[in-house]
Amino acid sequence: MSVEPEVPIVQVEEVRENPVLYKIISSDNHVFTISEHAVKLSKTLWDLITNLGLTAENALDNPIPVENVNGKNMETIVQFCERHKYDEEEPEYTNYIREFVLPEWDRQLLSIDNEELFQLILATNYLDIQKLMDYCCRVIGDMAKDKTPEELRIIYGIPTDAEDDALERSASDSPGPSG
Amino acid sequence: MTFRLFHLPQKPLLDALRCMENPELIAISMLSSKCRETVKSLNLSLKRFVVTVNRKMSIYMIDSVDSRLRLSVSGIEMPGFRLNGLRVMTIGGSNDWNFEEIDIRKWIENLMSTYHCPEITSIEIQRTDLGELEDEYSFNLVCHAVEGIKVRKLNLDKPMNPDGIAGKYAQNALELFSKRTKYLSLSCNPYQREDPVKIQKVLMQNFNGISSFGPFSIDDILMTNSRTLRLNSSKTGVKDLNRFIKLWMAGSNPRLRFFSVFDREAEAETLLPKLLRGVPHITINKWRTYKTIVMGDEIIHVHNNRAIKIRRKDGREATILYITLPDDNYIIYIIAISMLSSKCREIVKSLNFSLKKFDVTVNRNMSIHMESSVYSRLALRVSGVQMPGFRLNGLQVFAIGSSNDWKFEEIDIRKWIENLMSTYHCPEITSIEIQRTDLGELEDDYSLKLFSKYAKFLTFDCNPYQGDDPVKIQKTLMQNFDGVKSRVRLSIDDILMTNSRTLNMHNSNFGVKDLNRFIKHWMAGSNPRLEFLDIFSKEAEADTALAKLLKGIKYRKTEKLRVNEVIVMGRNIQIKWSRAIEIRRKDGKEATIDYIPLTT
Repeated sequence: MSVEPEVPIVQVEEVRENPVLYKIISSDNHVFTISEHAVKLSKTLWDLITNLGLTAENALDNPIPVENVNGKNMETIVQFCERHKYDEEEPEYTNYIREFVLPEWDRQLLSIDNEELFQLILATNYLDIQKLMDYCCRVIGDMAKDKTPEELRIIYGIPTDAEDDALERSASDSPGPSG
Repeated sequence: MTFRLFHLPQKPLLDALRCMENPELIAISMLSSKCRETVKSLNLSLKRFVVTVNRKMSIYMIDSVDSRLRLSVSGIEMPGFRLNGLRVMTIGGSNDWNFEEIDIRKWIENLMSTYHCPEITSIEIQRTDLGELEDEYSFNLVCHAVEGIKVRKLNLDKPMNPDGIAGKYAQNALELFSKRTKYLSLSCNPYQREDPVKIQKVLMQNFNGISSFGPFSIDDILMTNSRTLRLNSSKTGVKDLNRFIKLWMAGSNPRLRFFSVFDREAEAETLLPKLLRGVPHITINKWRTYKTIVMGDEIIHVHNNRAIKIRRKDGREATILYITLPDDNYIIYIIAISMLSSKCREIVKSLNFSLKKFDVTVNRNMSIHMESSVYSRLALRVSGVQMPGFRLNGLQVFAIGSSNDWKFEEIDIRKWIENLMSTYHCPEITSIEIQRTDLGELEDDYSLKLFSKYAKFLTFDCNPYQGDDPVKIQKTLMQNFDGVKSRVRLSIDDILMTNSRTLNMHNSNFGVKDLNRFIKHWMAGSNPRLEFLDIFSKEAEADTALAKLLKGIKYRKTEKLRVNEVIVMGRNIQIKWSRAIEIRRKDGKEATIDYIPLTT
């Protein structure tokens, strides 16, 4: 598969240690290069690469289209993966992921507005990058610190039971999909 | 600008909530029923849930990862005991919350349900002579807030004047709670000047532990039926204790495992001869540490170089230890040890081991498969279950690498399973597998009838009602299961009767027409709880299958790569699909259909 990029290629970080690079195309046709170690942090992308049989020889000729992630989020994701590609594997948190402090570099990276953070989490969930997901969740968790219930209702836009019911009623009144 | 937390997919939403501390989680759970259910699905648990009643009501929670949280409830307004404010205290600080009025009882129930807390660990009543009106209010508040909720321990520890208003208040609390608590802690005998029958009525309940500053008479002590009894002050002299020992040896207080009493005697040297006058005993002069658990979680260590052994007529033995203190005070401990297992069980229990699985399999024998939370595996095969009393006298124990046969005195199988579960802090049997096949009268339908009303998940390999009236299997399937997995052939009518959240039909052989009928029924409103259906269907020509499946159904095709998470039979599974068919039922609920053509 080859797609002509409409915008210049964004080279996030030059990778000297590992010559294997992959190209990823975002939903808005931005092209990113990412190293093999970095792309392994995304379970979805790595599964795709393995299934497509991409190798060191043909990787750059076969860009991977990711239609659910736009260029802005992909740029953040590529930066994050390149930064953490050599991190030691952490034990899987089955129930609690509470006790960790966000490193300063990552806090800076994730200092974005709430809607951007929401979209980044959807992209991270889709690409299945556990570490970035944990860090994003830490940012969301930190928003709640020392807040009262009513403050949390505003911060997280949580509707009351009555509002939830009204939303459900209006959803059921709207027409369904048609074939 | 708000962050749309509850618009996140399930996994990131739960991950984000796990990054929050208890106060924030409680705050979020209070905002709506959807929030509460989501926080509940984090499966948080508590070590302790203590309710203290003084001028205010306070709740003290210790969660299972040891962070501490204290909620002091203020703003309770008469007459409805409604709550509109809270002071939340943690190790790091405190915070005041104000919110819309909630009924205090509803709030406590929500809190306990959110944290999967089956009982109040302790109710501590700390009222002191503040006036009758205030006492009445506070007592009504306690009744309203916790009546009917299981309480493990009643604590009336704060010193109070038994003749004053507080004494009356304590009597009311005892009458309200003593019949449903396992442990009782008393600062005094609130019936001190009254008829002794009243306190004896309280003491004769089957408590697991009583701890008291007394004072109680020896007759009061003889009326107790508690497993452990610790008296920090008593009206008993050495002569009374001698009488008590003799009566114990003759058979009184059969449940007693530990008894300690603190008292005073003018001459310490004469204490022992008086205590043991007329009591057959042997003395062991050896330094030893005696360790026992009282009141459920307090460990008592006694170091002593002299122990006295006595034996009662049913063969049970006890060790008497005594320690003389300055000012002619002494403590006497009587530890009954012949029922070694109860002491051992409490000690093993205090190690706080937990299990991932406790599966019971019933075939010719009964087997128990336990998987501890640190991955070691252990299987226990119960042998020697004897009719008619279902009593157990042997076990085969299999662990990785070894097996062993145990023989012991007969135990009731139910009691044994309960002990095992309690030792490992296991709140429920994870799975009961019934593997009986045509072995006689105990057939599978018996098991289905017996268990299907309690189980959350049902797996079955054969239809015990086959050839019989289909109404019978439908009666089972219509229970509110969380998941049903079947390897038997059921009809579409059977499936339409199900009320489970998830259904896996692994040996179904429906035609595509049947499935088309099911989809139409679902769109019209049938199976309202259904969230996931996994079903096999056979069609001669794979190409025409889809057209037949969707005949007469409004749908939308999508071809984007999506990932969905569903909890099926208690496990989280991820479904990735690149093409799917979306349908919507008349109440607005949407469903996605995917199909996988197989070669055979």
